[in-house]
Amino acid sequence: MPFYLLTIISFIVTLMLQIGIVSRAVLLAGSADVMLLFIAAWSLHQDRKNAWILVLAFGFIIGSISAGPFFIPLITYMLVFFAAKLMHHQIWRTPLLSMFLLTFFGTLFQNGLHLLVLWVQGVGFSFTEAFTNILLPSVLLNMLLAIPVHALVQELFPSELPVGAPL
Amino acid sequence: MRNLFSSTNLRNLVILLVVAGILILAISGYLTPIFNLSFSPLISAQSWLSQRYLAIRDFFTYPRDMATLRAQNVQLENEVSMLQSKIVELQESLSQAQILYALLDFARANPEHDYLAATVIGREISPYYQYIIIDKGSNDGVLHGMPVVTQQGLVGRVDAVIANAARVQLISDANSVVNVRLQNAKVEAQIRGSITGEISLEMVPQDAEVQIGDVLLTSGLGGNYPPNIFVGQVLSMQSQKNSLFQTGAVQSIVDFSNLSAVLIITNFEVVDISPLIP
Repeated sequence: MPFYLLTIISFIVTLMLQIGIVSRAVLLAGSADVMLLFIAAWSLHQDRKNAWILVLAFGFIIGSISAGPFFIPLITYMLVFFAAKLMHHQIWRTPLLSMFLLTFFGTLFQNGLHLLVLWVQGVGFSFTEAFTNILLPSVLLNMLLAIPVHALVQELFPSELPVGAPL
Repeated sequence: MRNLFSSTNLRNLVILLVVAGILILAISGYLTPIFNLSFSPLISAQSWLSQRYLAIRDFFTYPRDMATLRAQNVQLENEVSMLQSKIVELQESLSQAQILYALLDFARANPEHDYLAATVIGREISPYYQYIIIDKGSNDGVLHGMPVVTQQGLVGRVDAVIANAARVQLISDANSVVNVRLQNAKVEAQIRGSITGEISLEMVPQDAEVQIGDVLLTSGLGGNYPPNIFVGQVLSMQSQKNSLFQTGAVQSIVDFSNLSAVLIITNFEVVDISPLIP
């Protein structure tokens, strides 16, 4: 029970930080996504059976708050969660490497989905401009924030899974 | 009578007269050089003695004073920190008050609308969408579609509302289109946002003479925004021979990255023309 409570409180605090501070700190036109980083780090440090339900709920909440399509955070977070589960067993010796991989590919995937949806909606944009001004700065910011977020989540949620344990 | 002039009385009388004489001389200032001469060594000696005493006293009481000074220093440092944080708080309040005064001035200068002030409490999570979140919602009478402005100009429109908060789509959002009027050229046009937050000017007729710096105002067409709200200025124009319209870039007067308070126009009724669109 304290685990779930702590997870929910951490999620709310991260969400407040994201909306209030992180989204305002832009590099060119890109910004960091600490929600994604939190989900990635949290997924790497726990092994509860029903944790995916929380991730689903978080994705749904973020999807409802965001102006973009609600399924983008939902799909991204679920994908990051299951990728983290796989990585925890495959690259168990270096959790930070797993965090970096999740951050990098998670950010690319999420940004790619956003661009795809905008393209389907008929919004005119230059892919080069989107890549240079939004995608790359967002990836850079996420990679920079991955270390502190991972360290913080590691302290809050000490790993429950024995390293190298079978799936 | 014999006793009156006795030797004792005469001696006392002489002493009295001498003392009185000395007093009179002292009061009249005739004895000052003599006093100076005689007291100077005494004062010097007293001064020397006093200095030595103070030096010895300081020597013995020095450690105690250090502790006191340290305690006072800590106390003063605490007070300085407290005052500094108070200054920061007051500066923050002052800045907030200045913004609110500016909004109030704008509301007074434009009495044709009813305004509701709101504080910006957040920004959209995704960098591809230009939205802000404000602290007023349906409980305060905010409805979907209400225009949002600042004292500088148009900000956007309310896109989604919950009880105590609302999401505002900025005019710089990629899905935002605002019908505008070029004040000098006297032509209608449209401004459109982009995923990076830049605003472009579209649908400007080829024969329109648009100058850099021309002012853009809302035209009121489409029924989404009230007319004559300041939007921005023309930054640059592009005209291609084969295209039907000129295009350009617009510099919004509102700094969307530093928005802290906005005004919602509450008495504007959005006209939904979507059923008329084939």
